[in-house]
Amino acid sequence: MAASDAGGHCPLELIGLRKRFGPVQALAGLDLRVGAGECYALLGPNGAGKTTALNILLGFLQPDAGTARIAAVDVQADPDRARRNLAYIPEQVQLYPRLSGLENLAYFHGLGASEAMADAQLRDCLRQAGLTDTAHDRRVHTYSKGMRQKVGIAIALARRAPVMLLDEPTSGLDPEAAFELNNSLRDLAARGVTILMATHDLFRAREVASRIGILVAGRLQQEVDPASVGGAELESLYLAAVRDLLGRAS
Amino acid sequence: MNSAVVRGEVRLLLRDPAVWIVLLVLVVTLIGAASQGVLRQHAEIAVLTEMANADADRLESATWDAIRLEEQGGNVSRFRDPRNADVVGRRLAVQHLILPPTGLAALAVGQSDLHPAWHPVSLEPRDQLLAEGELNSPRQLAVGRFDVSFVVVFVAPLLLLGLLAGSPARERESGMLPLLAVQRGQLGGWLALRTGLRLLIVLLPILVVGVMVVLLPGSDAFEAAAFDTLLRLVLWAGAVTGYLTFWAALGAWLGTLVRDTAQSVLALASSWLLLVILLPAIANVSLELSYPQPSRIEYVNAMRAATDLARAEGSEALQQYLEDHPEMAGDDVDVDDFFAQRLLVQERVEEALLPLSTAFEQQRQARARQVSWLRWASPAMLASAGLADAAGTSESRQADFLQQVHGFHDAWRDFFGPRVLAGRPFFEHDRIPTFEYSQEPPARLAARMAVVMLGCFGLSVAFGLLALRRARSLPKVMGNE
Ligand SMILES: Nc1ncnc2c1ncn2[C@@H]1O[C@H](COP(=O)(O)OP(=O)(O)OP(=O)(O)O)[C@@H](O)[C@H]1O
Ligand SMILES: [Mg+2]
Repeated sequence: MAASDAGGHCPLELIGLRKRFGPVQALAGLDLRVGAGECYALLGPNGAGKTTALNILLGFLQPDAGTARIAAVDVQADPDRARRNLAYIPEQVQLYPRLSGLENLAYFHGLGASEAMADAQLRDCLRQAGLTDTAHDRRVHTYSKGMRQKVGIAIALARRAPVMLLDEPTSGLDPEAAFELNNSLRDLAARGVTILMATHDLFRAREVASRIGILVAGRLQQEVDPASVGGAELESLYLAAVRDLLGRAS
Repeated sequence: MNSAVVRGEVRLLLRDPAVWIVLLVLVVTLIGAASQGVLRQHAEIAVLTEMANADADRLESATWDAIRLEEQGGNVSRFRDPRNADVVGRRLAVQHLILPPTGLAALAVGQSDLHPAWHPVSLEPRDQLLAEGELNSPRQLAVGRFDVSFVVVFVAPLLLLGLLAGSPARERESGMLPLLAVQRGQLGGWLALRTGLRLLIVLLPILVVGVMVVLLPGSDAFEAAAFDTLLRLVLWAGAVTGYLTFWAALGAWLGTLVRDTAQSVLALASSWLLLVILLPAIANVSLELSYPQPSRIEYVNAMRAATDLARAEGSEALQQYLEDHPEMAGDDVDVDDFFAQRLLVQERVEEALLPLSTAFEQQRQARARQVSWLRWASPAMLASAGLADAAGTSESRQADFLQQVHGFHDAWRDFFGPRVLAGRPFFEHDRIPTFEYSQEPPARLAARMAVVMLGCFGLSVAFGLLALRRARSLPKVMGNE
């Protein structure tokens, strides 16, 4: 397992992460290290704390305790520098409705790049994300949710960051696009990109991930090697982990 | 950040109907205000030119009449005789001293709707002259204060805030901020870019119209002072830019504090109301309470009393007065002569009123000092005073002009006084003093304007830094959001 890069650092590290929202303990001591070229799928029921963990990694949320590091940079100490190594696909990709898909991509990509990308390259990214050519120049307010999601994927792909965070990236995608996304993620991982993905899609997670973690009530309950389990087996492991904990809780 | 972002922002602005509405409103009000200003300026220049011509004509024909009467003889009443120094100094040679409008006068009414741009100077006592000047300018009183300065101080911030209301509130509402922040690293520069572009939308049309009004052919016909006009234009543009930059910075900062567009609109509208309407109103009330305008009625009453007294005291008192003031005339003054007597009474009245008029002048100066402090209460007041100053319609230029008027009035009386008292025929029409308005040194104006600009830009920097600091931590996930 490629758990650390050349410098001995993990590209993505969560250490003892705790976060409480009023009475809700969203994260209760989460430890997670994802190495270069790894694709880590974070499974867990609604409210398990997946998005909370990602928000802390993105620097949007202050943890009560613990540390989050991206490429050895403490996110809380220097979110600006940490984000430079990050690409992110949110749960709901929101774009400027008055710009076309292509224009949105150029805009969002331009925010982080010192030089503008050529149109042809931008279109390639859109194609790679599964957006058909006819849609590139249409205004985004005419897009379906899945089409917006694809532009979001294109934005993340164009960024060429060493670490990628995805929050339920396949929600709203048609099966073909979801399949394409998986291919893209596999490519990225093969090129050494570190991927952390929160998802409810056990089937696709098993296909693309090199490791799977099951998060319940803010704690990592179990880690699974997807190569060693079948789809049905993964599902029963997941259900067991969730029910076990929720049963204990009640 | 690269050119793609700028292009994207420009596209977003061009495709936003609100931007076009703002531009339309701005351009229409600007054109309305500017054309009114230009018309007013032209009318004013016409009146002033006519006045100057009439003065010259009257004096010239008086000169010829005097020569003709002397050569050919003829019967004329002493009260209309162009050889009578009193008649000449009081009526025939009356000079309307003119405060020449600057090349920028069309941009700001300023104080010029309260004070006339001219004062007739003759042997008449000072205050009466000023009062007459005021009453003679109903045209100026009738013109409202809808000028380019009004558009800059009142309308432009409102439109700018309208453009800023959705930034970044709309991105926050729609959930775009996280992706924007990840792509950008932190949103300070992004917010600055958007704010700057919106500022330009409002600022550029104003500057363009300002420059056009000033450079319009014919507008500097009265005063072909190209350097002065250029300097004033640069200072004016600097003040406009400083003032609107302040609003942009304030709007950006407020935008980072609020959660959504509704709160944003509320915050921005309240700040406008506070700074543009409420604070100036409060400042005005406090000014009137602590430094009321000197009462003209009090002055007029005192003058009447002093006049009655001087007349009642009779010729001995006048003789005594003359002896106390040997510089006024020789020994051969006939104090019972109508003209000499009138002049002496007038002198005595003015001397009696000196303490009161000095007190009034001190009160006026104290008030002016207070005004110059009070304008710091709100950038709107600072800007409005600065714009008037740049356009040469400020209270201070007016006061400086009045000083020159008083000085000239003194020179006038120094010239005519002894001649009236001597009672000899007057043939020195070509030696009557003439008035030359002396322009304030440009450095003084520039220094005053620099203070205004420093104030505006200083506040801009302060709010800009606050906005940048807040923007760095955008988006924060708030509790229960
Ligand atoms: N801003 C917030 N304020 C209050 N509570 C919050 C906030 N964000 C998350 N929570 C709570 O923290 C817990 C974890 O939420 P989180 O969004 O991380 O779950 P999740 O695993 O992403 O769920 P889902 O699968 O539904 O996306 C939930 O109980 C949620 O109600
Ligand atoms: Mg979630």
